[in-house]
Amino acid sequence: MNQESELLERLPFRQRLSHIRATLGILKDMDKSYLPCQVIFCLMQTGAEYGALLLSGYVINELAAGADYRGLMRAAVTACILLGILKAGASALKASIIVKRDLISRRYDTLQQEKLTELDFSMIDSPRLKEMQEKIQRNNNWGAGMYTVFWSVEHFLTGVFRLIGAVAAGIPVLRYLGGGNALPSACIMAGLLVFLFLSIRVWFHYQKIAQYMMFHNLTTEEKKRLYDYMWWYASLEAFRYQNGKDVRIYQGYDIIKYWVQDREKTREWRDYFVNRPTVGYAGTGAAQGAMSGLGVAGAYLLVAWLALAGGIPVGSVILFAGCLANLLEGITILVFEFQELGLASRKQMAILELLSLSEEMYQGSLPMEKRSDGQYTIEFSHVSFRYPGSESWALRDFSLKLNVGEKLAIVGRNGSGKTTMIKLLCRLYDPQEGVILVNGVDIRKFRKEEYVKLFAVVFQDFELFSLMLAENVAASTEYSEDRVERCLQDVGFGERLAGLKKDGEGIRSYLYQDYVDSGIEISGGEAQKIAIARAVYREAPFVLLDEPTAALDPLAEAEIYSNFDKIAGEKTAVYISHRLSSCRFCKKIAVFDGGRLVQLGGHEELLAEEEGTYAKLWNAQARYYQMQ
Amino acid sequence: MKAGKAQGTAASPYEKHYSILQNTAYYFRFYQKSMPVFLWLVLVEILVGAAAPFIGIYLPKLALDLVTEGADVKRLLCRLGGLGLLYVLARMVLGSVSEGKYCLYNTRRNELISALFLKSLRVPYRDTEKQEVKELYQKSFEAMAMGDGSSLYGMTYGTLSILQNIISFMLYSTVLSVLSPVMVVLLLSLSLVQYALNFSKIKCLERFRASGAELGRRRRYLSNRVMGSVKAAKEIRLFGMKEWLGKLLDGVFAEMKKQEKTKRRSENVYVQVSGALTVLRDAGAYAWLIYQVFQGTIGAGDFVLYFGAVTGFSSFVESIIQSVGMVRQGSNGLNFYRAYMELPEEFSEEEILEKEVPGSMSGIERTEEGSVPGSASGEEGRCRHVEELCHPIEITFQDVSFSYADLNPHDGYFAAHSAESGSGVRDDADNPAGSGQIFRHFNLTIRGGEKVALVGVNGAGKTTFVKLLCGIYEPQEGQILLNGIDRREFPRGEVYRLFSAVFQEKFLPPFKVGESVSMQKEWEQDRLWKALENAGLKNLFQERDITLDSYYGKYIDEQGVELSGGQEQRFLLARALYKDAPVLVLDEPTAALDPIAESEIYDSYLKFSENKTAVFISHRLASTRFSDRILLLDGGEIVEEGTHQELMDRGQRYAEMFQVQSSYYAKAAKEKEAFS
Repeated sequence: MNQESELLERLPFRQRLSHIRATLGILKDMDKSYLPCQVIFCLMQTGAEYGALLLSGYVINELAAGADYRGLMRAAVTACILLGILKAGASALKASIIVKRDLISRRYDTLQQEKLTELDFSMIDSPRLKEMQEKIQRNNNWGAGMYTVFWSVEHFLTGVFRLIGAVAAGIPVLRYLGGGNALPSACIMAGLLVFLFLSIRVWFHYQKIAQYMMFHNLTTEEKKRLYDYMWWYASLEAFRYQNGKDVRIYQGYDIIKYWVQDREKTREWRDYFVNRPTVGYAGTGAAQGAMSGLGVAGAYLLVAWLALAGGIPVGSVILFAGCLANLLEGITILVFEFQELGLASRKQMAILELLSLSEEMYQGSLPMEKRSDGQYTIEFSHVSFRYPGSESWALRDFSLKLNVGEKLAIVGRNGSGKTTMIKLLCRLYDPQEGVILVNGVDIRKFRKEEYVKLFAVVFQDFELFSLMLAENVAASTEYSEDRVERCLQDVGFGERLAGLKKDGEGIRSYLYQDYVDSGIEISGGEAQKIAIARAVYREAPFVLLDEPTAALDPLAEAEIYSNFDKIAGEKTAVYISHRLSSCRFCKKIAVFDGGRLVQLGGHEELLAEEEGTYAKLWNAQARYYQMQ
Repeated sequence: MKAGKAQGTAASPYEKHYSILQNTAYYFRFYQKSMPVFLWLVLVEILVGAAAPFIGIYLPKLALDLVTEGADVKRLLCRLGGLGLLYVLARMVLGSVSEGKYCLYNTRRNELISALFLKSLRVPYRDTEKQEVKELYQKSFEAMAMGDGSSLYGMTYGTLSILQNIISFMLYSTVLSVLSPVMVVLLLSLSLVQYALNFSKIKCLERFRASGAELGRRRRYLSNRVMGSVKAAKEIRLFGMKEWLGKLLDGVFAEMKKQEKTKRRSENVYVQVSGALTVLRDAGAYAWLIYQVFQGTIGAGDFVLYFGAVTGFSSFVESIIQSVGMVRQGSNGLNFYRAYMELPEEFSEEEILEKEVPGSMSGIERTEEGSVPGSASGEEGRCRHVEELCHPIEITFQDVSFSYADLNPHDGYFAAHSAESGSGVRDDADNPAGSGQIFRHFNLTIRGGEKVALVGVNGAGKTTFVKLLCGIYEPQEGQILLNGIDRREFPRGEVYRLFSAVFQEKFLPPFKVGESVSMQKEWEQDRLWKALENAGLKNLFQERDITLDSYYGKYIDEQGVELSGGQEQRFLLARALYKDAPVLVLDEPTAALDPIAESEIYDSYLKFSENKTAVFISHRLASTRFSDRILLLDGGEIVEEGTHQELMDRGQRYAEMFQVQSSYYAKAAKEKEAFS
């Protein structure tokens, strides 16, 4: 599967048709009137084309017959105006189609991301989803996404109407056929068709070569020789300007240049990315050019031949040749565009697959009991958990009970399962073994959206958005101004807030400048405070803090801690920290090691176990201070 | 900014205003240098592209003429068949050239992009932090990034199409002027009117561009950076933010729709007038041509030919207008790009590579290089080499002043990064709100072989100090001396050679392990293994069968190396050890590590900094207390200095900070004593 992309394999007709149907289905879902508008537009446009063709045929015939030129002029002018109106209508319709396309395509691009907010968290982070996203990206790398579909549909419809028009407008001319020269003209016609189909074959052949580079997945070995990081680095997706320090200090310019630019200097690279696809593109272009050229030139030759032999009127030469050219072109358009539309639709399948995903976590239906007294207990009972795609246990046979108002500190080395425990408690993941109980009930049985309201969390890698400060705190477009301000005051953001109120928009200020240019800049410590304020605003019975102060200096850290009591108050709190000294306000300390709970108890108690993990962690930090 | 005034017209070095012609010449030279065959293909496409449709309108004329005159089969085949064949041939050539050159164009575009990126590694680091420069980079990148909307595409394909259509225009005018010069003049003026109309339409739509871009930016932010971000996924779920974000997004879409409607309404007038003119032209042409036929001036074949020519005019006009738009936009984009490429450099590509690389894009910049007098560091006396310095190296800050005043405090990039990194690790941690001046007449000597620790609150100037120390920044006033010699006397690349530095942002490129550690294309196998061993990674690598040729990360090889946070720190340690430079600098790289890992890392650094000058920064004072000297930095000044003991004895700021951190530990220790 890795060698060739599935986009390169040929599919049975029926399957292609079903892809196309599914893709048109999306279009219909997003804008019901789009496809009808598109059909009407193509009809009008083709109609105008044939109108002009019929008009020239008529005029020339009449002229040849020696009609009165005044009458003819009047007729021609009238017809021109009518056609003009038709064309004007068509172009107005087209303008609205273009707007529709724009909106559909933007909405469509956004669908994926919107979908991500609905899926289980475990899915978002899973290799499976990553693979799907990569596939989507790969499939849409070449071509213009939904736009390719729009264009293909338009061309295809035009082809259909041209064919129909050719037959309808060409029928009257047929009566001139059947003169003595039926056989040779049939032969020429047959020859034209044969040539046409040969060209189509040639076209397919080169198209395959051209597509090889686009849709072939490089193997690992090929990647080692051919892959480059140009795009990834230059777009600053994988390279931040701060990394420039390392490049300068370690004189890495050479190696970076090698990976972003010099790889193209190899022969193999050029063969794969330049020479081969260029041959493919040039071949398809030539075949396409030959076909449309042949359609026109062949049509005139054939019709002139017939006219000379069978006496087709002069005007009908133009009409008939036009119809014939349209017929031949219509056939090629249908063949090409069916192929194009099939491919473009197939590329959408990966997105459709993503959009059709549904939550897999167990969805309980129990309402969450809202206790005004805040009497909740949490119990982990023999919980084991492995991250999706991982072989080792992140948490193993973990049991712990936590009562209301208790403060629990969790300590342990990196990767010992501390954050995992929090994620399980919030139902970002469900454990593979064991259960987590709240007030004695398996948490999976509660309605998830109600259940998570029990928790106010600040993660180590918290996110603030470049949106309105108040909305960031309230996580909603609706918020109580007083409450937002109070929360910000409580976490120590009051001073800055006063400043913002004085010469800014107060809590209506936007953070950063990604969303609006006038956004405010905040420091790391201030961001931290806002994130904590967001948790406070929740007014949830449980507060979970996952090492929120790692990046702060000692004084700023101490400030956050001093506010912590205010924040946690009487609530139940779980606190993770690397700095053991900051666990001081917790009566209960849980020590994690390798995914297991190895120690539980108060500080003295734990320290007394001299060989214990806690003592080791403690001494690593405390030995310096104790030498005091 | 001192330099970068290649074209005197621009006031700021970040803006260039080359004319369309100058920019066309720029790309022409670029193609000529990098892929001359491309220019020939363009020439062929222009000529054949003008000829093919012309043959196309001649075909029906010839057919009609032959039918009217009752030609025999041989003549028919010779004339019409011949012209038909020519037509098919022309279409084939045109098809193959216009399609075939696409990949070639695309690789050229990629070359421009990679040249831009590499350029960003040659401008002084200080400049890359500036808001204007970052914006300029972004604009230059965007100008090249969009495949068929790129500057190179616009100017290449636009120019091609303009030339093609002008030739066609002239061909058709010639044909028509045989019949009636007056007619040609009439048609030309009609075309001009249509050109003007279309132009005003474009101008009218330009009003909407800024607000449209704004809406686009909001949509992209919400969808890509918020909803689509894995990092934000936890919060979105736990805080139930779906509804909030959905509402905002719907609002953006509603506004987009509204805007599109207004846009259509305002362009309608132009479209309708232009359409009416076309009808007028067609009807007039018909009437006039019918009259001519009736007069006997022309035959049926000519009638078709001339009518085809008349209707052709409007499509030329349309194409030209469109192409002019493309070219203008492309030229604007190129102005950003050229402005960036002409920024002064810290060192030129030749200096870095120490050899010429023929056929590379750097050739283009070189033409402008005359106006680029190196970096902010005066290079007049650049004759010394770092080899002459005795180790260990003594570093002296003499009367150094440094200010961030030129950094825009409203800095979208820092914002983006602090938003991304969440925990608020910012590169400019010293400059939280663009406060400006960091150091004022700052003096300090770090003796050769001394281990110095730098402590202080966020914003005290520690990170800035490190950057000044390594030569990443150059002071605005005063000088930095290496063993008593002004640093500016050495080439900057050589100065960098003196430092092994580990910064806050990890840079672990997904190359081969050997490349990623050494940051070089070629490395010494034994020395590299030794460095990995000393960094405590050798055993792990051997257990996991990781060789120096394994790839870091999973981008290239699914079996690639993945490391945990602590192991990554060791990887960086290995890099510093492999480089084995005389000065070791650590800018708090261990914030996210657990206590055991942190103390291990610091122990390793201490162990390997023997005989080296070393500077450590950490928030955890315990990690820095074994240094020979501790400097407490505040507001760009050293407020306290001495050994740990001395500072504790003094009982001031340092002691206070130490108390804050150690209170609990100390208390526990006392209790312990009490117990025993």
